[in-house]
Amino acid sequence: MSETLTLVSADGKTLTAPKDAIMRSAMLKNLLEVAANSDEQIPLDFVHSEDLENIIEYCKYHVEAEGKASEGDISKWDGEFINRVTQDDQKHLRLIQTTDQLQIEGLFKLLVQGIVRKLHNKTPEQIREKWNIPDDLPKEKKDEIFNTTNWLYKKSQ
Amino acid sequence: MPKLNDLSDVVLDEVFNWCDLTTLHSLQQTCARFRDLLQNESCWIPAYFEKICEIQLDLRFDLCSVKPFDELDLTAPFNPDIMRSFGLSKKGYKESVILYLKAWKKSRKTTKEEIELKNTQKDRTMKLWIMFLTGLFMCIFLILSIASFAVILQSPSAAPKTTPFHYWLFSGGFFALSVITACIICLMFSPKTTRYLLCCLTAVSIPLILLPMVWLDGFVVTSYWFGFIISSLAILGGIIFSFGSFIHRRDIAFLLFGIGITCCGVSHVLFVLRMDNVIRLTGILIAIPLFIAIPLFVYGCVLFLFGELDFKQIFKPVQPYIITAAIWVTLVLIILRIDEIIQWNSNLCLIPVYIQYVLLIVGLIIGYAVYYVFTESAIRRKAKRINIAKENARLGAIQSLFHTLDNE
Repeated sequence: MSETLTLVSADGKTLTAPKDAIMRSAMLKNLLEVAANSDEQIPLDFVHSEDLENIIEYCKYHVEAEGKASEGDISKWDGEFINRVTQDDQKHLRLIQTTDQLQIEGLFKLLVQGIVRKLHNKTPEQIREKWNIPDDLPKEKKDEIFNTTNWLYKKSQ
Repeated sequence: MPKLNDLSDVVLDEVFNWCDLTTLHSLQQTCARFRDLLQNESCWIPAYFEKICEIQLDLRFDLCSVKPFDELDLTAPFNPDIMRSFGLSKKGYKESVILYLKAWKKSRKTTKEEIELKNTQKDRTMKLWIMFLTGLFMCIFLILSIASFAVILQSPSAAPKTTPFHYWLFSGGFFALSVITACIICLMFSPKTTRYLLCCLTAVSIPLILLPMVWLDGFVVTSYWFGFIISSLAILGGIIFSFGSFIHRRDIAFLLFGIGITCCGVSHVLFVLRMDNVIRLTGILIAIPLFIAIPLFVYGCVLFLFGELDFKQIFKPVQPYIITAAIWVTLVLIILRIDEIIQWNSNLCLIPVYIQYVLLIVGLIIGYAVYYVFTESAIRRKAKRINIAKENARLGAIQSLFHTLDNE
């Protein structure tokens, strides 16, 4: 049986995960190599328990699937996983931040692509409304931007 | 709760790298933070690259939708860090990308040529093997015929009753030859997983072949079961190669189908051989269309299942099998005639079996040598030429890029 480690989330929840899965995080890998004892609990003050559960699920699957499942199966699982965890925009952003801090490259890319899909074909107004972003650009600046980048659109039409 | 514009620069840069030009344009007009970040030219490079592919060279599907940029080694000069270090403007970038892509497209043509070459060589190799096998079996049967006559000439009066074992050895050697040859051919052509599968198949077939020998008595039953089992195994192998991850090895699937059905037909002929004349004749007549019709039918079904049913496509690869099957039927009929004339000598009838195995080994060595000289070395020579051409195209493209950069 593989070695397990205990992680403590920001909201105090304790979760255990196989060491192999945790090593998917470059940050935790460095930490374990340098300082931490595997018997100790690893506090992750910046990670919400819900995010930690999702991250462990992702890492566990990828460790288990490596060399066993086909690329197609892994992609399918990734797609379903991302659809599930990114339904809520706020949780999606929080998970991206966490994944970035934990340096889990594969999951980070998937989450970024999720954001890109949500932004695709949206106008500036729609983006501001969906993501609750204040409109802090004066109209002149917007016009200026539009004029400088418009050349590509004329060519494509 | 975090907001999209509160994300770190690293995260936002990654988001921008995956956005298309329209989205980047929208983001630039969304808020001051996005606008500031998007003033960095490197954020726009992947999107420009994609857009230029789309509008100028219609390569969007080939290039941009299939793989992310960092996985395409040919796009290495467009690494955002490199571009940033040159301080390239959008106009300069656009021009250099167009130049580069033109050269890249040229090198793609070479790659297509390479694929065509490989396919052609593969077809040629398969045909070569089929021709070689046909010739090999023809030689075996001819020598068997000569050996049979030699037996008659040496001891015309010696005609003891043949035991089922000897008949099995004769017919069994003949069947085993087919299977062993098929396995060797498959081993030569197939990838690692397939080899493993074929080894399992062969291992399973041994007890299955021996069991009827132990339990059943008599040539008729033995040869019938023998042929039935071998053909079943071969067809099973064919089915395995027709589905799942082996789908790209349809050539092997068809080879196994062909062997399976041929064994079935031979077994049938040997079975009816022991019956009275009328039934024997009927049986042989039934066996002839069996040789030809069933492989066509099975192969047609396989193609139909994968939506590739095309009569030209069926006939072309089947043609060598029809010829092979016709030769086999003819030779089997000749042997049947010989068998009617003579009664096999219990000791001397082993000679043809030994000859079969010697021929198999010699034939395979010659076949492999022919295959190597005419196909393998030719492929290597051509591949070397293509690699040089590709490398030249790539170097030319990079030179064009640097030329544009110098002009900037």
